[in-house]
Parts: sequence; structure tokens; C-alpha cells
Amino acid sequence: MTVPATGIVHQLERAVEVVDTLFGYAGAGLMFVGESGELRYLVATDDAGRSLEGAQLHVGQGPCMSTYENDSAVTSFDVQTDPRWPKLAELLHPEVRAVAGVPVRLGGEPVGTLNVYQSAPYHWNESDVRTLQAYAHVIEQILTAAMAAEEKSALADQLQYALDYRVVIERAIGYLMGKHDLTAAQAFTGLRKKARDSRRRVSDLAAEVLAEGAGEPG
Amino acid sequence: MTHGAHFTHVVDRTLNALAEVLGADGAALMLIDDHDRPRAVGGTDADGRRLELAQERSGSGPSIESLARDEDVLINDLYAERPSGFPGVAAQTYGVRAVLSVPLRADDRVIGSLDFYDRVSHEWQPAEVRAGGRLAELMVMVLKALAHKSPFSGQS
Repeated sequence: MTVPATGIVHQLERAVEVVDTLFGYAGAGLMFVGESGELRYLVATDDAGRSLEGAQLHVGQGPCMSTYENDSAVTSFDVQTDPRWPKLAELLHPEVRAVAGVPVRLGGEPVGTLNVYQSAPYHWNESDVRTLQAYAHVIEQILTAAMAAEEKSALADQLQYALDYRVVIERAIGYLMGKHDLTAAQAFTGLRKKARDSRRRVSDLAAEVLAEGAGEPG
Repeated sequence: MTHGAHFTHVVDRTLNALAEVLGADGAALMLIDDHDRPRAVGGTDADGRRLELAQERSGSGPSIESLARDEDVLINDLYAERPSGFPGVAAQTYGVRAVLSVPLRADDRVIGSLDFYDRVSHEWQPAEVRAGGRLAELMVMVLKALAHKSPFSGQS
């Protein structure tokens, strides 16, 4: 029996709707890293929240990307004025203010992020973050069960890609950080941009970078 | 990992996460078997597993009532006299006091119930009961996926 990816996507849509209604946030979304190495929304409850994706892709930084890259929860009292991402505000929907993101992991490795936002500045507390992390764990179990049920679905392929290539990408990031004195975020952004510009997959470029590094005199 | 171990692993992790989301001390699961009998499936800790086993053995308890009536059952203190509590079940579960049992529905039928519990007696608030119902939906998603049934089929 061929099982369409829309099945699991539909379930994840429902799961994200539940997080939205359960906690009374203005919006929620689920992002996964795709073959290009970019975080893309799989599910978003509204267009305002969806602006987070485009804005972060454009400036190459933001709370959801930080969540994924650092594999840890990231919160912002007001993303419109947050000094960590000064270029983000002009590309964001004005209703996106307080943002929280937690990693979604498979097999212990991050494959995406669960994000929520509020339309007014908000101090996220420890309990908010812990609850969101627990909710991400529920989503992880839905994904884990789905992966076992249908390994060939498009989503499973996408998630598997992230699992397979994260190690090589991380090694390349580490190499670039050491060689060019970059932060992890700078190295990842540079790698992703170069891959996009040269129409290659981030994983292929990362492998090339590592191969070149291995050929350099020590 | 065998299929059975995978099932148990995923169910236990889901129960842990659901309890955390609701802010309950624990969660436990009862499912209807092929012979329409309630079966204790799992719990976040020993108390939760004892709660389900006690109900399975005795044929009574909040989960059993939830299954039979297809509705939420709110028990503020398991030790209270019937009909407010289930002292017989309480005697076998030690640490469980307040229980919220929510029916699990799939394809328009009840397939089991999800119990949330706390170690202190208290009144369940309407918001907690509503949240419990939504979280039960997520439990069903996981169970369906584990059973290789819809939601991953019939949508092509």
C-alpha cells in the first residue's frame, strides 16, 4: 500500500493546531530542514507566523534557525526589537512579536523546530519552555511512529535526509569555524548560501569542503 | 528493537510528554483488546502501571467508566467512597489520588482511555479537561501510526 505524505502532514497540521488552541498562542508552526539545508515550514497556523520562515531565510538568521543550529530552546521577548537579529524586523509580519522555538529531534538529532509566537511582547518563563519541549516530544513520537509505518513517504525521506547528513554538515561547519574564525551560525549561513548559489545540496558541498580540508597540508 | 519493544518505547515516551504538557504527575493508557476487554498498556511510572492493572483486574475504575460511557470521568480523590472515588482501586495504587480519564476515539469508536493522574487530591478544572481531550487526540495519532493504519492510509 502506498501511503501519501499528506497523511502524516495532515496529522502534524492537526497536532500544531492543538498546540495553538491548547496554549492560546497567536500562532504555531513546525519547520523541518530540507535538502537545501534550509528550515522550511511544513505546517503553520497562519500567514503572520509564516513570515518567520521567509524573513529568516532572507537574512540567514533568527530564533527558529538558532533553535535548530544550537539544538536548544530559544526565546525572544520581542523579535521585532531583539538585538540578536536586527535585520529581521523589517521582513516580519508586525503581529509576530514574542517568539519561542524548541528543537524537534529524531534519534536524538534535531530535524526541525516547533515554534510559537504571540502578538505582544512576552517574557517566556521556564514553564512555558518546558511545556513546549514536552509538546515537541509528542510530535517526535508521532514522527517516530510514522517513520516506522511508512519509510518511503516524502516526509520520511526529508527527515531521513536531515538525519543522514547532519553529521557531515556539522563537521564541515566545525572545519569552517576553525579555518576562518567564524561562529557556528556564520559558518552554516555561508555554507547554505554557497550551496544555494551553486545549486548544490548543502550536504554535497559540506562533503566537498571536508574533502578539500583533508587534502590541505597539515 | 522488536515491534513490541518499539511500541512500548513510543507509547511510554508519548505518555511522559502528554503528562508534562498537561502538568499532571503521570499518565497511563488502557486499550480495548480484540475481545473487547480493557487491557493495561502502559504508564509513565510504576504508580500509573499499577493504576491500569488494578482497573483491568477489578473491572472497575475511572478508566473503565470512561470506556463504558464514552465520556470524560473526573475523580478528585480516588480514595473517596463510591460514587465519587474508587477505594478498591486506590488501595492497589498507593500514590494516585486525582484521576482524569479521557476516552480515546478512532474511526468513531472508543478504542481505549487515557488517564492523567496527580498524587494529591484536587478538583479538575474545565481547562484541564478540555486539554486532556485534545491530548487524547494526539495519543490516538501515535497509536494509529504504530498500528500502520490510517492516518497514513486511505488518503490517496
